[in-house]
Amino acid sequence: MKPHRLQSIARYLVAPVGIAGLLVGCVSGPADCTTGEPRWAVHATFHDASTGALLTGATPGRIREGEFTDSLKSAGRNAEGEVIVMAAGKGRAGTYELTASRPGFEPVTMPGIVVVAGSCGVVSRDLRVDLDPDP
Amino acid sequence: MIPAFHEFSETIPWGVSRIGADSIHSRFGLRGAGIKIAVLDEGVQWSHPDLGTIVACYDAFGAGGSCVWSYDDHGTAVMGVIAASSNGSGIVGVAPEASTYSARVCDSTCPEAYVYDGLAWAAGLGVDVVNISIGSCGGDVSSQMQALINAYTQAGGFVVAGGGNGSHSTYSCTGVGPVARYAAADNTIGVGAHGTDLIYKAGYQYGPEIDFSAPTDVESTRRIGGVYVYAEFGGTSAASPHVAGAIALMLDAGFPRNKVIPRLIETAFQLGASPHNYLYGYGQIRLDEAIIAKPAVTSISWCTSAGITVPGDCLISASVVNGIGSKQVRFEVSRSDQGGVTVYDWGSSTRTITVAPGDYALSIKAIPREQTYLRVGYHTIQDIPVCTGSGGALVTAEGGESTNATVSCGGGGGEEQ
Repeated sequence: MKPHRLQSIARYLVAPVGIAGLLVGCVSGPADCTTGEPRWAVHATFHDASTGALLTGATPGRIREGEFTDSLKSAGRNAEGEVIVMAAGKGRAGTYELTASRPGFEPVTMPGIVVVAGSCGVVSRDLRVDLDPDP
Repeated sequence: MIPAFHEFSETIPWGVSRIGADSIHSRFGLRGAGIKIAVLDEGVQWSHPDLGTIVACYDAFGAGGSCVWSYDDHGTAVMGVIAASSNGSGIVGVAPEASTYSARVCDSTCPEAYVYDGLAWAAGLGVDVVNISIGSCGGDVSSQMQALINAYTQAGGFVVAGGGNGSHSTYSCTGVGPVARYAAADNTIGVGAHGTDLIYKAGYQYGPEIDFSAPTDVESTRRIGGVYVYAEFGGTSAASPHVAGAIALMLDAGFPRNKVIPRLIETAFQLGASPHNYLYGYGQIRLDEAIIAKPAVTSISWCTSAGITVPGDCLISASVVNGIGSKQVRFEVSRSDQGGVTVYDWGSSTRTITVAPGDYALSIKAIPREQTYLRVGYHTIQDIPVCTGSGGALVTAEGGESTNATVSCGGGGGEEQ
């Protein structure tokens, strides 16, 4: 078991700052990463192209790279609980084509979405997708 | 004017509820006010509508400014678990009124030198609790980092760190792997994770350095797709801030720093086969047990165990267990021959009361109080005979077989209730 702090109450300004002043710049080591789950490759918000308004509610669609496909999933809600962000491709880098369709709007295809892998997993691409209303 | 529907609605994430934080909020009004918590991470999007005002931020990369960054969804989510505002909208965090600090120590990676800088910065500001949801596949922190952690924690600070997500991690970890090095370091609190099923998240890192397990896959404040949202947040990154926030509530409740961890261990909900194991550590913290299950009076003594034969001053004393700090007791004294209760309000657990002459029985109830804690356990004794004249006189009261109907001097005694 790790030793736990059982020390008495003490305020602690002097010691850590003093040590920090001596050692900053002397520390090195391998890079670490945050301990969240792997990021989505693609995030997408959908907007009404005629008004610019953010569309709420899930927008069906998928991303594709060769044989790989993944459907868009609800990834974020507003305070009212309405879905406003869709996502796909958890933890997977690649060059994707996104397709989506939504009632009242024309289907959309966005090719050439490049998602790269960083030292700590994929660097998510944030996409704004403008949907043209049905004529 | 009637507010819109959503203004009535605030979600309590299951993790906040599971560790009993919401109960502490509602019953005692403890929300971490005045307790300083720092998140060492990718920065925090303070503009998220459910996060309060930042007290201070630090950018280890030297960019300064508002300390926000394009990678900061993770830090925003960690902070939301700790301190999402109790504002009637969105979600609420474990310690929604804590004073929050953010150090940006990660961009695409989290170099230890920057984590070091962030911890030193937080320590210098007198921050009480530091959360590090940063992992690795095992390894050790440097001797310099360990020295800083030691100095900070020995001086009263708390460092809480995620144990790591193993095969689900974003760093190179084949399989489960040993516990991440900040969580494994001496004098930090290593946190594993479990879901709503209370089962260890398969594939996450575990080992003897895990001290507690905490909820993961919880709703939190996020910045995804360039917009502020609420979304599920996972990994031990989500578990660790539950513990950090819980420590803030313990401090807010008045626990001395050296009592916080022992109390959390003492009251933890055991998960797994043994009281301490590699998957769950000591188990899952339970703030409602740690804070509410406070002190109890186990017995009361009075001036004589053989009855009060000489009316006058009588020393009564209550034994209080589980207490910390000043243990105050309120005594409520009633007589069998009179209605009403005489209250000896909050004060010492040993008190002198005046016993009037007469033939009756006393009932004494002792209620403990401890700083901000409300009482939980109390103790009552009844049938303490009070006899006029010399000892041994028989006192018979009317009332048939009721509790206090018949008492005899020289006998009687306490009865737990």
